[in-house]
Parts: sequence; structure tokens; C-alpha cells
Amino acid sequence: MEITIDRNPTVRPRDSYQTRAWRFVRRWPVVPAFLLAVLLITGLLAPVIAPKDPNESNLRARNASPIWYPDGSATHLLGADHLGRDVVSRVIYGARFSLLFASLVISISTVIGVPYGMVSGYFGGWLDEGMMRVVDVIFALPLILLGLALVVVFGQRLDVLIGLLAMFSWPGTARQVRAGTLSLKTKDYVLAARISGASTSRILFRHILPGVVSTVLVLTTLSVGGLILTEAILSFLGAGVPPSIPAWGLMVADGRNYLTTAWWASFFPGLAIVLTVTGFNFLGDWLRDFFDPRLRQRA
Amino acid sequence: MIRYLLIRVVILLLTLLVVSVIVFGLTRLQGDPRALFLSEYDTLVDKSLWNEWGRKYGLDKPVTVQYLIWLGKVTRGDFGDSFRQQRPVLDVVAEKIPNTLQLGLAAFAFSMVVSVPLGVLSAVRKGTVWDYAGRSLALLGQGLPPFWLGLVLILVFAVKLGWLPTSQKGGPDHFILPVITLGTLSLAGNLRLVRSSMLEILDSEFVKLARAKGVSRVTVVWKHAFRNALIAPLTHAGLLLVGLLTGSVVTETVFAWPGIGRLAVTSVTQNDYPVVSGVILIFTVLYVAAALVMDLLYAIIDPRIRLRGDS
Repeated sequence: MEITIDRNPTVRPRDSYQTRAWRFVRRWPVVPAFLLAVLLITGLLAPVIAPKDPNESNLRARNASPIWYPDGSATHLLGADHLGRDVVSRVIYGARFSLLFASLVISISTVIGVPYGMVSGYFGGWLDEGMMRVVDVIFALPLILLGLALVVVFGQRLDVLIGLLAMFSWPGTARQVRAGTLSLKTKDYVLAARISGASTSRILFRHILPGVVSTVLVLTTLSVGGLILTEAILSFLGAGVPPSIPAWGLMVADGRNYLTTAWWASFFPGLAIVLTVTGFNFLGDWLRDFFDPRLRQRA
Repeated sequence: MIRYLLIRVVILLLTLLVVSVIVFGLTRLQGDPRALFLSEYDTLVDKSLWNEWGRKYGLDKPVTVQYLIWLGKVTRGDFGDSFRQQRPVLDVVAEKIPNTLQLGLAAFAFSMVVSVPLGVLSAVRKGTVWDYAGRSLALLGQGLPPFWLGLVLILVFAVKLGWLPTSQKGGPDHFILPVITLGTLSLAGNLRLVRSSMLEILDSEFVKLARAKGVSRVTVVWKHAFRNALIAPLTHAGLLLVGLLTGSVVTETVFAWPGIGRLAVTSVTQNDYPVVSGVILIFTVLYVAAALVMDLLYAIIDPRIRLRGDS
């Protein structure tokens, strides 16, 4: 029997540069990664990058125009607000504050939500029932309105704001972690660990916890956007961070009364919120698909 | 189904209870209300007026008893008097409710009219321009802060172009910008839900069977898939309501809309706590009632819930 060997196999022509670039962009979260990298760098290096002190007011530069206006100058690239504070510097410091704020709230809600969800899901029964009802009740509370009530009593305080948002964000983590724990606890390897006499805490932390890490990661990324948005809404309403902190929501509120004369003071901080929140949401969606390819078809 | 509804009723009542405890607790965190109105002499030296007020307003009783008395009044619609306006909180709030409802319903209609068809289209024509448009709108809509969107809309359509009024209530043209501002966030969330549940259903066995039988594409999409795909968005209508609720606070503030949301914000700046607490309680009751109706609807629409009997 003779075997013919094709000495000239048809080689698929290498895709053009554009096709490969497009495929790369569709496969990896290039745009959100870029946005968030910019956010992270500006946030971390704010004191180095920002041209001015964010709270330094200069009455001669009140409502100064951005650089592309005929009367604009390079001293205020994106203009200045009604107190003559530099918009670019404030937006940059706002990134620093948003990151710090979000990471604090998320640390608290992870520390509470992960053990809570694991215990609720692992033990089940009445304990689970009761613990999940607590979560349901918190979900039904009107967050923004309670924020308004709190500010009447305590004034604008950062610790109260962080506590409020942490209280509203851990139930989400707990619910997801519980769902993950429920599906993991009947897995063979967990049963095997139980049969071989592993203690409950060992099973929870060595066998279940690693399985829910990806869920927590996805949820965390998705919730950063919502957190920043909620903080900005509360700050805009005057029920958020104290006025001395350069926060984006506050800047939009401050510039609001000068919309006709200095739209940039409100517009750019708001744009920063849009880009940040959209970036985190996009990345969160991508991470979810990455960890759970079955969903990729739909999401 | 009875069990499912019972559990829901219990949760919602608990929610009301928790909100009432928080609202009452916050009033007491401010300190004894007598201290706000009486002089130091009355508070510390001659306690006769202090004690008289205590008897008159029930402030001499234990806090738990005070809470129960307060709860009894609140359930009968007595939220006390507004500090600022010197008249019952219920009257102050009640006259603003129609404005908030009009805006909320208009925004709800707007977000549904856009999100449902676009979500279906995005799922049915997956991978086409429609799909990209739908997905971009969903992603962007969820990242847009409503207060900023409102300001940008005012800037462009009212200030620069002069086509629409900037704020306050008036003719139909006064509705356009607030409705877009309020509706966008829920529009985006709903669009995502409709799209993903539609994709899921289109991929299911019974839809494939219907196609294999030779049922026309239009019938498959609208009769087989669409009706089932609506279940998921319906269950999230509760969340959508919360979105509209929180959104109305922001939107009304931006557009100076005379509704309950703006009332709450102005009362905060005026330290008018009775009004703030009244708004919170009334909002929570509205939300709880709406959530209950949604649960009921959901149970009626989806036989799986009705028959399984548990959430």
C-alpha cells in the first residue's frame, strides 16, 4: 500500500495585522484594562501627577476656561471651578479617593460576607434560612434615603458613609458565596475530606474557600462600579463625603450652579465617574465569562 | 405557593420593622428632643418644665415604650409635624406624591419601551449591529451617574440648543429630560436581562423543537421564546423599582421637580427630621407593597413557582 504524502500542504495565510488586532481586542479586555490602569496610576501617583493642590483656591482663576478656549491657558488644562480650584488636579485626586473608598468598603464587605455565606451555605437548614432572611431584609432597605437620614443626625462623615455602604454591600457577597458553597459541599472531594475526618473549619477554609474565590473576584469587580456610583450619588445630594475631600460626586454638585458659565467643572469629574464605573463593569463581565465559559454565549 | 408568599410577607414586614427601628433610633441618637427646645436652666436646674414636657410627650417613659407609642401613631398615618412648615408631615408628603408617581411611571414606560424590543432584537440578531448597539447602551447606561446625565442633557438641550426647559414641572416638554435621566439606569439593567434571558430561551430544547417542526421564525421568537424570557425581567422589576426610587431623589434634585425625592433632600438641608423620616417610611411602605405585588405576579406567571411552593 502506497501512502501519498502531500508535500505542499495548504498553509492558511497569516491573518492581516488588523484582523489579529481586532481578535485580540475582542478576546481580552483591552479597553477597560487600559482605563483602569490609568485610574490606578493616577490614583496612586496623584501627588506627583497633579499639577496643583486640589483644594487650593485662586480667586483670580474663578471659572477659568480650559486650554482649548481662546481665553484658556496651560495653567488650568481643564479649567477651574467657581473657587478657582484646578479641575485636572481635582479629578486626579478624586481617582485616589474613589479607589481608597472602594477598597475600604470592599475589604469590609468581603471580611463579613465570605464567612457569612460559607457558614450559611455549608450548614444549611434553619440557620441558613434565618441568615438568608437577614440578607433579604437588608436588600429591601432604601439605601439612599437612609443615607439622607444619617446625614441629618451625624452630618457628613466619612466613617458613617463607609459603614453604610459596607452594610449594604456584604449581603451581595454573602449570597453569591452561599450559592457557591451549596454547589461545592456535595462535591466528591469535599465528601472525601469529611470522611477522612477533616474538621469543619478545615473543610470550609481549605476545600470550599478556594472554590469561591473566583466568584468573589468577579463580584468584587462588578460591585466597585456600583459602589463608586452610589458614593457619588450620595455626595452629590450632600449626604456623602465631607466637602473638604476632593470626591467626583461633590465636584459635579459644586459645579452645577455654574453650568452656563463653567460647564467643565461639573462635566469632567462626571466623565471620570462614567469611565471608571463602565471600566469596572466591563472588566467584571469579562472576568465572569472567563471563569465560567458556559455563560460566554449569553453575556 | 402559599408558603412562598407567606415567607415573602414575613420578610417585607420585617423590612418595615427594621426601617422603623432605624428611623426611630436615629431620632433618639440626636439626643433627648427636650434638650433642643428647652434652655439649660430648664434642663439642669429647675426641672419642672422638663418633667412636664416629659409627661406631655411621653418622653419620661422607657425608650421601648416610646418606640411602640410612636409606631402606633405612624401606622395611623401620624408622622408628627414638619419643623419647617409647622404642619403634619403626611400633608407635606402627600401633596408631592402625584408628581413623583407621574415622573416614575413615565420613566418606567420609557425604559420598558426601549429596553424590551432592543433586548429581543439584540438576542435574535446576535452579533449584528443591533446586538452591539444594545450591548453598548446597556454597558454605558449602567455606568452613567443619573445626576451627571441630567446635567449634560440640560447643558446640551436646554442651555446650548434651547429646545427644552431646564427644570421644574410644566407642560409635556418638561417631562422629556427628567424621564430620560431617570429611565436610563433601569433601561440598561432591563436591556441586559431581556437579552440574556432571551438568548437562554432561544437556546433551549423546546424552541429548537418548535423550529424543527417548522414553526415560523416570528412565532418562535414572540410566542415561544419571548413570553418565557419575560419571567426573569419581571422578577427583577422589584430591583427596577428601587432604581427608580433612588433615581427619583437624584432626578428631582437636578430638575427641581416638586416630588418626594426633592422634598427629602431639601428637608435634609433644613434639618427637618420629621419630614425625612416620614419620606423614608412612606417610600418603604410603597416599595414593600410594590414588591409584594411583583411576587404575586411572578407566582401567577411562572407555574414552577406556584407548584414548587418554595422560593
